Amino acid sequence: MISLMYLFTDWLDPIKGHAQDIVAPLYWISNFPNQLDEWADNRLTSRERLIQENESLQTENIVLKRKLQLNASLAAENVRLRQLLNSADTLEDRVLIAEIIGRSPDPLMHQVIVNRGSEHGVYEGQALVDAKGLMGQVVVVGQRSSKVLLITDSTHALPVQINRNGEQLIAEGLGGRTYELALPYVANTLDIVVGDLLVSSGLGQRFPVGYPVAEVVEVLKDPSRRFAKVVTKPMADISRSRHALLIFDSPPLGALYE
Amino acid sequence: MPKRHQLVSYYWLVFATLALGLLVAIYPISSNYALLRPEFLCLFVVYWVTHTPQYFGVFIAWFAGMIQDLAEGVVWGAHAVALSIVAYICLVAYQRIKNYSVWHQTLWIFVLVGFHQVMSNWVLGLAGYKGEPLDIIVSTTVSALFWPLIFFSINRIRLHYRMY
Repeated sequence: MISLMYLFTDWLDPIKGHAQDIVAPLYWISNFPNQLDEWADNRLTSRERLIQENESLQTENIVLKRKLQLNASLAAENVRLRQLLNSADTLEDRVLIAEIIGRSPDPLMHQVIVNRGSEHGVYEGQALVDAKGLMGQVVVVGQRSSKVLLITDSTHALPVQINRNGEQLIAEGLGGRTYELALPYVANTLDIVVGDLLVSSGLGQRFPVGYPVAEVVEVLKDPSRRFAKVVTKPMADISRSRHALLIFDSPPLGALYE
Repeated sequence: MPKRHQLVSYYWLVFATLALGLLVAIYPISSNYALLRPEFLCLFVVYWVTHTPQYFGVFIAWFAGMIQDLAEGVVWGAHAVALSIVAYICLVAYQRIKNYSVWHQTLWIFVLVGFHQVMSNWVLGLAGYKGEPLDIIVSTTVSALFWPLIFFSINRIRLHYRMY
């Protein structure tokens, strides 16, 4: 009975957030060994390793700064061109750092728990990204933790476009242990090759535009089938990331409707 | 009729085992090994129903399953309905199960946990998640192999603290 109510009605929605608060301590406890490991790692690192790490980070920093220089001029140019076209400026997104404190224990479900909630301004539908790409969206908001549905979950799909030529597609999670996304309804004549980068297109008004989503790893064009079979691998470290960013790109959906 | 403090310590032990079962249920492990996760909560419920059917019944089993659903974040009621049916079967058959040797019981547990997995996967199936039959069999086997451990260790604790 409760399962049916949970699945097919929204009667339980108001208490889902509270349930999230009730079980959050369990995840804190089960995450404790991890925290301890991180703490020990921070305390017991040798001096040589710290120096080494520092050097490599500095090198990386210089490389990234060089890229940023190019980026700054490109961004300025982009703004000028947009002004010429009289279109709105793209806004810089505000972000919030979140730590992933738990993962769904069921291998079928690709969900994570993050340590941010309504107290920090998290809202339903908010996008979660890691250093490399889009990870998922918030589905349940508790007071100090929230549940995030990952893009590889079998109940998740999002609109994307190919970065190279702007073709718009839908990427569906496949679930299971492979952590892959499939592109359904790809015509055999569509220009898509292995290595293409898919970025979010923002068409569903859920995800912000332009975040890397996945890379095409397999394209199978069989003339005897109606659609090509395309498998892609998410750019984000879906199964390994521990730190991620929540993006504030739009007001909460509820506020839009009010 | 047990004394009141005995009953209190009994429920403390029940609570502790169920909490342990919950912790095992959500402890983070690599997704490659996630299907080897034993269903400790189900085993504990079976133990308590078969050994103390006068104190532990379908309702507590349902409640434990509900907490597991909340904790795992799956469809609410999936484990609750599975655990209450398992508890009911145990209530009906505890006299017979208790007469078997531990290894024989393990076979029984295999069937019970398997039933539990099939039921909870069926409810998850309503939400659009498709469980692999092989995964279910593997996790059920692992759970069943843990039965002797649970059986002997809880028996030991109960004997030591005279909780009868």
